[in-house]
Amino acid sequence: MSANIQRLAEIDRVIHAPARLMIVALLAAVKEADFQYLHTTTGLTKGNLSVHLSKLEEAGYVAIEKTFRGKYPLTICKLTEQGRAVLEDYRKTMRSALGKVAV
Amino acid sequence: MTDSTLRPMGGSAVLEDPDWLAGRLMQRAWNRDGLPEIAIGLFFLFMSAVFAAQHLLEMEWPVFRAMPAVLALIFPLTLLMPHAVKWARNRYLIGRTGYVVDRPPIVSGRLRMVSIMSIIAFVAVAAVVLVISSLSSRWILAGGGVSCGVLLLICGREMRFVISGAVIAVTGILLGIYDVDFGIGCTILYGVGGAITVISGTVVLVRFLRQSREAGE
Repeated sequence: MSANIQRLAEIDRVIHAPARLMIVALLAAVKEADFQYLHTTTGLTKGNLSVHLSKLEEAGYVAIEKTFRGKYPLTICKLTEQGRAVLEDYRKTMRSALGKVAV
Repeated sequence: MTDSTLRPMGGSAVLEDPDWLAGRLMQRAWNRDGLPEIAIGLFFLFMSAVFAAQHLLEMEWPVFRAMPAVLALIFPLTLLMPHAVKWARNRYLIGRTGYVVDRPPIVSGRLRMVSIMSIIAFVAVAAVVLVISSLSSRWILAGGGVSCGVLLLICGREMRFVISGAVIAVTGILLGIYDVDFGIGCTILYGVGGAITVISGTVVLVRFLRQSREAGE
């Protein structure tokens, strides 16, 4: 079990932050979503959400595309394959590390 | 993460389970504008109207003949309901709720088997209901009220759904206790269910529109 616990030190810090984890978890559950949906769903402020999305985009976990739907401007966010793989790895690490810890 | 209700059992459990977190957030987002409740309420009112028309027009269908017709109406309507909600949301509320595209469902062989088994189980249950219905309508009204209430609670998992579900369940039980005529009972049960969910959904929708206007969205 200690080996599993030690893996926590290697966990991806970009995805580990609660706000970013929330964004990545949401994007993993949908095909794509726009900025407004993420804003209303996560409850993060627009500025905060924007900063976290930029960090995720820089890391290559989220792809952002600006487009229109009729007259409505959309900032569409999608989880990249890399982002999906990192989330899966994060999920496995957390489960193996904390799954057997007595609360 | 400002909302403490997003944490399940332990404080850090959210961090362990992104799937749970995403599911809960999406369910809350789905119910946030009240449109699903209004759709459910309109469906209940439609069912109430079907039973009322049947009763008022004195179409003396025995329960076992009316039920398949009602069930035949339920399936397409329940399947269309989420699409209707998404259409209305994308058409009128996209600036406030945002734009989202669900992932296409991955239908594996196992899932297909489970789906087929579920349909078979549903048909079996419907057959049992039909047999029971020929014995006593009071059990159907009470059972129908309780199951509708529980289903509503499962759909929403929020206090307003608990209240609506409880009202529907109590109505069903009371109708059963007083052994009300089946047609009238169904009209009242679905009418009460429809009215309370439409009212609750409308209040939520108005509050949502007001809040988003104040937030400048």
